[in-house]
Amino acid sequence: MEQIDLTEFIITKQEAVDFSDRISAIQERVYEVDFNLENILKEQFDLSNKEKFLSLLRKNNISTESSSALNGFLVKLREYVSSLPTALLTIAVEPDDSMLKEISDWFMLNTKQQVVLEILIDVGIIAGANISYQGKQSKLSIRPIFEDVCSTILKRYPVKVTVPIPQEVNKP
Amino acid sequence: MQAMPAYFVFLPVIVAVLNLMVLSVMVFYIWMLKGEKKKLEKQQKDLSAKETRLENGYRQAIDSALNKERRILDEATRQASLILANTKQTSDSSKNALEKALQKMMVDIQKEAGNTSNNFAANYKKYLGQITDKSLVDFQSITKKFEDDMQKQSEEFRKSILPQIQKELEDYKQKRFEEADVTIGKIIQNVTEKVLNKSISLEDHKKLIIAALDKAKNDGLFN
Repeated sequence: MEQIDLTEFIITKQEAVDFSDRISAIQERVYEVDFNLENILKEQFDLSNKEKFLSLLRKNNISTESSSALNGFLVKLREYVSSLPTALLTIAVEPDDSMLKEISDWFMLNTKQQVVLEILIDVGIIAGANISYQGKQSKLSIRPIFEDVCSTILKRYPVKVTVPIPQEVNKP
Repeated sequence: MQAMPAYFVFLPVIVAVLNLMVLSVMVFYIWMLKGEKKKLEKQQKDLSAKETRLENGYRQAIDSALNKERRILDEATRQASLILANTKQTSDSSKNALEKALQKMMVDIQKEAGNTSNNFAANYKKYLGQITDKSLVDFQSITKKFEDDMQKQSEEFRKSILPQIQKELEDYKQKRFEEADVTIGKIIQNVTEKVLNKSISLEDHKKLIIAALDKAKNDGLFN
């Protein structure tokens, strides 16, 4: 399938589902008599995303006057979103937008395609990430290193619990 | 036609004769009935007389039976009174004899009971004294024996069991200390983990995640 750049709209799986739902909502009204794309986009997206969507249409040469062309593009868009691969990342912190963007860009650069991110938070991994992608897994958190270091230190400098031992009982 | 008037002449005669015959028959019949009636009256008189005789006979029989019965009842009553009188006499005399015998028995029993209890008390005192003396001697010997046994056991305990108990106690202490060490180690590890997690900045987390992705790529995860 021909690649469509949706990195402006979708980074995480939740966003992909949300985007797909909005596309469906627009699609339902395409053939209405008083269909107005601008108004509908305003309802479904905020201002910046609306502009981005219109820009997306222009990039793909979709005429906003033609309902059938628009509908066809919307169908293609939904199919494309559902076909995007998903990477499951288990990390130790709640990511902010810039972290998500950076990770998404990394995938775009290194896998040459957009990948939808599914993020799980597990503070037990301390730092780094456990990655699961298309049935393959890679555990790359720093937890094993941490445990190794801890056990080494504790062996070298063991914690001794000291309690005064009472004297032997004297014979009667 | 000449014959017919002859019939007409004799007809009243015939009728009169017939009437006479019927009348005579009726008179004869009535005379017969009267005779029968007299007979019946006579028979009735005889029957009444018979009945009266029979009735008198029954009455006499009943009266005599009643008289007999009365006589029998009177005799029976007289006999019963006699028997009752005799019985009362007998029971009174028996009662008196029984009472006398019981009184004598009571006196004897009391005398005997008194003797027996005196004997019993004397014997009991004697035996109690004997037992007390014997018990004291036995008690003393048992106490002495118990003291010797206790000493022996205490020596044995000091020599063999006490060192063993001390050793077991030492081993137990050692084991518990080791367990405590492990628990404390785990606690230290948990705390360090949490502190480390919080001390790493978001930027460092990001770098570590990217580093993990690079490593995964080198390992062929995204091929």
